[in-house]
Amino acid sequence: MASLDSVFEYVGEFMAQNGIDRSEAYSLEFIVEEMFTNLIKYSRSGRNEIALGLRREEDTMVVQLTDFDVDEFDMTKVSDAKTDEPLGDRRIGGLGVHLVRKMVDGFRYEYSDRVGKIIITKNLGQDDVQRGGRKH
Amino acid sequence: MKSSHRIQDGIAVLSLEGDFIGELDQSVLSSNVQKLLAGGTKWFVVDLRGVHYINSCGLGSLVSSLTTLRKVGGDLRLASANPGVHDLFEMTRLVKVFDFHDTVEAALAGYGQTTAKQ
Repeated sequence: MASLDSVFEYVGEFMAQNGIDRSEAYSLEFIVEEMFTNLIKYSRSGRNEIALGLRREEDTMVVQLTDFDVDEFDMTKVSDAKTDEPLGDRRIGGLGVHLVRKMVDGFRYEYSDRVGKIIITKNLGQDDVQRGGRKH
Repeated sequence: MKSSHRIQDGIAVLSLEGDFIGELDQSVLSSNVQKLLAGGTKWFVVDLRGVHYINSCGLGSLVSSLTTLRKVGGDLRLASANPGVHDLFEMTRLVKVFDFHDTVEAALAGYGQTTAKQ
């Protein structure tokens, strides 16, 4: 998890440099952390590294995670968690992707030549999760 | 993530501090619950005041502990969640499953009649 600390540091720097309000902090950190953690957990990569790219395009934030030397695994096709089921029937997994889907405006996967990319877009200023945020 | 606990009127108040994000954090919660349950405590209040950030792993862990306790006739209530944490429970509809309270005291008071019947 030491690599997650540097991820959050990068996210914090990006937000400061791009004038992104702290109200967006929680959801951006959540999105990046969930996707990063899922790739580490499920990736069969021989290279053991994931590239994280953040950029702002006017009022849209673009998050890209690139996984190298991997088999195809499209996380966007993971089915939504069944949130209406009784407690005892609830599957523990799938909540992360479910939550990311609710927080973002675009969520797609690209795969070519053993390189997988998750590309997420989020319109700024329309956050469902507006408060709090990870303490740095 | 760190934890501490105290027992008040037969109810375990488990205070968590830090980010609730990984397998180690999951084991902090589950081991505390299992240990206290083995000692006869089945009513819990989890104080989230010190939890700044939680991810799906943490949510799943709380669900797992709640399920364990309800199977033995106990319960687990949440107190002092920050708005960001609470919003995640809203988005996953787990607000319908967990009892949330603004403070630990309110959560303990909510147990009053329940534990008295046991």
